[in-house]
Amino acid sequence: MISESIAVAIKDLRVERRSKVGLNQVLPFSLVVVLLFGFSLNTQSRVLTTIAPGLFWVAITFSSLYLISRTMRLERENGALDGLFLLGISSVSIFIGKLLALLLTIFVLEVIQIAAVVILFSVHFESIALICISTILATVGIGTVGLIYGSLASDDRLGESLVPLLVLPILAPIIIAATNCWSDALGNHGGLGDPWLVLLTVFAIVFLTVGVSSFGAILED
Amino acid sequence: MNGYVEAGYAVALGTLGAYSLWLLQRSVKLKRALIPIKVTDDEEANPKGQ
Amino acid sequence: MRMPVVRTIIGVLSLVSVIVTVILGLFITPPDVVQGNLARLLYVHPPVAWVAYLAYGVTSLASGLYLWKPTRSMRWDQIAASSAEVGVVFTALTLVTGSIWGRPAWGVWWTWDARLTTTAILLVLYLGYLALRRVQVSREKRAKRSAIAALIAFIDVPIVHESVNWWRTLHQGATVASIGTNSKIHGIMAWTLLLGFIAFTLVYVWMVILRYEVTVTEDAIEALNISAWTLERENEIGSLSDEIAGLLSDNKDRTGTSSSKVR
Repeated sequence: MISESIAVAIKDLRVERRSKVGLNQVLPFSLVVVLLFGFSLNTQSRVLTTIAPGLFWVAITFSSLYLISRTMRLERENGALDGLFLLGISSVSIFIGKLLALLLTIFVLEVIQIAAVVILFSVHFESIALICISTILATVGIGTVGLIYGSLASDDRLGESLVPLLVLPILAPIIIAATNCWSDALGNHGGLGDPWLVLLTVFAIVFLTVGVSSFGAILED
Repeated sequence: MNGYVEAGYAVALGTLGAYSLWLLQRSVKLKRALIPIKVTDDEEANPKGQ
Repeated sequence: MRMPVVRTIIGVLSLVSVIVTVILGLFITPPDVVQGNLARLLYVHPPVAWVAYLAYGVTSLASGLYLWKPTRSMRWDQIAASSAEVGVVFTALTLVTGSIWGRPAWGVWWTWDARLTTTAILLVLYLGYLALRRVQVSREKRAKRSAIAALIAFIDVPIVHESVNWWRTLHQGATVASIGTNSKIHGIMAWTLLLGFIAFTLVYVWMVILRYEVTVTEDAIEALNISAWTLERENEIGSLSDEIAGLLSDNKDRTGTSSSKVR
């Protein structure tokens, strides 16, 4: 099962390497969003630094939606999913594999985005560990929920445009918790005992469980 | 009373009333659509209704 | 034939009880000591909010019963859909009536209180659920997928509530006094509130039954259309194959005659 998942993940990453959709479209998009936040808010004041966590997570969420639609569209086109099932790959392996590839792509995006936020908004991190752990946990949550709903609504074009409406309300706790983790990490009163980390962990575990147990039922009907 | 109370009652009753009217109208329409039409028994003489 | 009768009885009962609630609430009950006439809105708002939560509870339960193999039946899917739609109407009403109450009571239309925010997210969640139901797939697929979506929403609601609760309390503390605790409830006021709960619950039951009937009829019409379409298609194919058979036999006759001629 593990080798199957890795094979699926490598397949998705290879598609990305060859098409470069993430690199050429999603990454510039997320950078433009951050720039626009700068234009639309007062850049002279300290406001930008204090709201930087929120801006970062909103930009990441929107960019992730882009990647989520993309990863499910890949499977829908040309009946690629049926091909995977015909190869005897279980739905759990497909889920984990696609999730791994999606998470890896979002992580790369986040590293570049963090650099952009640090430079553009003159943000200073007090607790690097809290930033890293909260970002990883929140990304797992976003990716998992996105994949579940991406597959729920992946059958036609109408469904694809529905994904943001379905995913964003579910992600509300993630946005709240991740933003607060970041604020704590910036404001020098955060550590690994941050209560918001608990919420992020619970969210990630709950939706990983839901995803693993329901992905097969969603796809194999 | 101060206007807010009346507005609140009006919104609540108005919305519920409008929604139930819409439901009733749809239900009546659909029932009409499903009324079976009596077919005269000339199937043998004229197969496939042509 | 029994269902419409039950529905009509519930409909009449709910209409009467709503009218009585409105008369009691607007004219008979005395104004509240603290809130004055504004308290009259509280005969409507909490019952409406309760019905919204009840509706989502029913949707989740029906979705669970659909997903559980021994009780799987299209009926649960139709009940879940009907209840969700009525729930969305009541959630919207909860937000609007709450907002109208909040404006004079707190001075603002909206405050980022835990309960308000959770209700708003709930509304968007189930709007998404209803939109998902409109995606064109086969009925079984749609039923299964919307049931899964409803259960995910159900799992998400407590997490949303918890996070919003923390979010507000960690930063500024609860600013909004909970409804009804700041005043002693008078006898007739309590009875009116209780009647309000009963009245709006009856309205909910009536609406769900009606909506369920509409859904069943719609599905039946859809099935009829599909069967009519297949019949047409079969006839077409039938006539086509007749034609082909005719052509073939023509050909055979011709070759037959020609060969006999040669002989």
